Amino acid sequence: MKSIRKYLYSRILWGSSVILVIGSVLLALAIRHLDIKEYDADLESKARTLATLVLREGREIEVNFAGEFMPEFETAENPEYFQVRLQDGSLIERSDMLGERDLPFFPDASGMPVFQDLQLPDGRRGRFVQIGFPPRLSGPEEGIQNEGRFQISEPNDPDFTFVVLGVARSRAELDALLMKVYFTLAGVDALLIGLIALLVYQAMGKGFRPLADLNAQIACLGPDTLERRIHLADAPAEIAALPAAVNSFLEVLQASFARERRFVGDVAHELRTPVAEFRAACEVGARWSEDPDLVRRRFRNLQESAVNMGRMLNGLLDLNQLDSGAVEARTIETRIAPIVESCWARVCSEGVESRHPFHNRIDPSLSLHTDPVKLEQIFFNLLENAASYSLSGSAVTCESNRSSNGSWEIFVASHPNALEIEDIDHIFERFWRKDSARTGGRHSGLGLSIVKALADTLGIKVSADLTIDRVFTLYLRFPSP
Amino acid sequence: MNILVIEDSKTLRETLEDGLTKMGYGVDAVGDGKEGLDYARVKEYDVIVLDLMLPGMDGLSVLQHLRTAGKKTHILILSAKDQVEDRLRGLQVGADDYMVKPFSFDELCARISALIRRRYDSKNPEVIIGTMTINTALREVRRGKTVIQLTPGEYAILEFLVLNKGRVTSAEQLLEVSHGSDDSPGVNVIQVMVCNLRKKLAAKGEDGVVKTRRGYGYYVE
Repeated sequence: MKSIRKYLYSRILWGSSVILVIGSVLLALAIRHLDIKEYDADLESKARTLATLVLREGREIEVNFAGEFMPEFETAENPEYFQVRLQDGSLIERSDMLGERDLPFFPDASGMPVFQDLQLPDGRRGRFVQIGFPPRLSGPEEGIQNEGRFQISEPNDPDFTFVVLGVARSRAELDALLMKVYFTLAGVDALLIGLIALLVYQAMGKGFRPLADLNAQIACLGPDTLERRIHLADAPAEIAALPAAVNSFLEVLQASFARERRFVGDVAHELRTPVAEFRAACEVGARWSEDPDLVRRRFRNLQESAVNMGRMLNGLLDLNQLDSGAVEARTIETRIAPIVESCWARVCSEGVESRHPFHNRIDPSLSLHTDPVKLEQIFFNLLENAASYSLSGSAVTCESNRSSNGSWEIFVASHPNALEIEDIDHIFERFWRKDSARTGGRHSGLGLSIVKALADTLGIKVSADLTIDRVFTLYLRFPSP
Repeated sequence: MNILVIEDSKTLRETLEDGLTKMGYGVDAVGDGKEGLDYARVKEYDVIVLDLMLPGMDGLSVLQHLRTAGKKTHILILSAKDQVEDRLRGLQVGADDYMVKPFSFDELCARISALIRRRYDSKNPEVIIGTMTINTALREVRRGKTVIQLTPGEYAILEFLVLNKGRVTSAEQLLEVSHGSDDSPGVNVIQVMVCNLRKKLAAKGEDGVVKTRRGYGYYVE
């Protein structure tokens, strides 16, 4: 699994390391350049010094490099080398340690010094400089000795004689210095990378602690621990909104789970009795099948159970469709009073207790832009509910009012036989019934839940009220036109 | 044997009433908790089959009222509530048994039969009278290997008399045992049923099992 922390850690570490290494390489190159430049300057300086010892007098050139003063050219151990030539390459003199070998020669070089790495005759790595210069004319007191004289050949004009001096010496000291610099830089880099790794690790650990804490708390969440909430002390700004959002989500989820459990429990419970009815009727009917009256009664019972069960299942299916949002409102201009009248007629015809005077006081001209099919179901459920649970002989009234903002309110008022004010909060709950008996035959406790769901689909606000004089009113507030 | 069924589902109530009557019990069936409590208070039942979620008064309240009033009738709760806590609550309040809906009618009958045996302090479902064996679980009467065929009403009368051996039972009591409170056809029916019972037993060699104490009723020695 990818880890942000590991990813950032490795990227920061790699990034820092690359930057450090590149910086160190550039620094090393700069130091090397400067060291070589300084080394070359020293080498050139030495060559220039030697150049002052090359004297000319007429056609004769003398190289006055006394071995006792410059032992570095004479010593057998780690010697330095020189070679003096004319510009045409004619050898004037070379150090004894060179034997018959030559140092590099660049005839085309102007007076500018030429530097080069080379392998010294004794096999060591060395540094070579070549400079060209006109030999110094000897002064009156500097008489050229006979020993070591070089006779310039005829074609050369002594006034334009140009001597080339090459000096080579070991660069071991330079290499050792450079190596020390390289190792020092590498060591510093390693140390810095280690420090960066440590600091980044600590910073990451501290920075990601709230996330790790959040992760651990979320990992502990499950269907059985939905009551837990996320608590983050000193939550950083980047995730400050997260705990609240997760907690809010958990509350919704918990409520949803509880509702689902309750719903499943309710459905299971509601189905137990009809299934018990089916089973008992079947077993008793089968056992005494020779008794036609008993069998007939059992079949009649089975039919009633099946009708009631079918009614409940239809209610559940309606609710399921409404919950899933699959139901769309098909609104047209709809006259309300005839729908209410028709619904009451249905309530009476379906055998619901209907010995209630019914007053349809809906404005006969009231016409609303709504879905007539769903509205009819709403009114049927409301009126059936009122007829079923009202005091015998009490009136059921349906009335319309227009509010100041032009929206319409329709309400159904009745006189319930058992409803209490504390029941009002529950009347739209699924399977809720005032009576503790939940096997109320045709009533499954879904009617008002369906009303609520349908009203939500149509944008109608539904509410209920029970007055002190025990008038129960269900309000439908239609949206403003 | 008298059974009171307090069940609000009309379908189930009627089915139980039919089935238990066919089994030879005297059955009263009501659909309301308060009405059921009234029945249980005024009449002695061997077993009460009680639903918990009832209109009028819930089953647990009915049970509590009966126990508070000192009624020792065996009560079997028959409920859709299947949670352990529901069962525990029912048993703690004083129920003798608990069955969850949906249920097997045969199992219900077996449990009712067991409760009736407990009521008469008989753990053995078989009661032996002379050479005759009465199996109260199977509701069967045998003499040796021969089954004596009785109607449910005749069996109910015989079982009640056997379980109350040595006690005289009036014809009115036997009427309740075999027919319950409703639709009682009159004590003459009991005389006819006892007569038929005696004939069937005598035909299998069990003469004089059911005795008459003139003016009081019937008994088994």
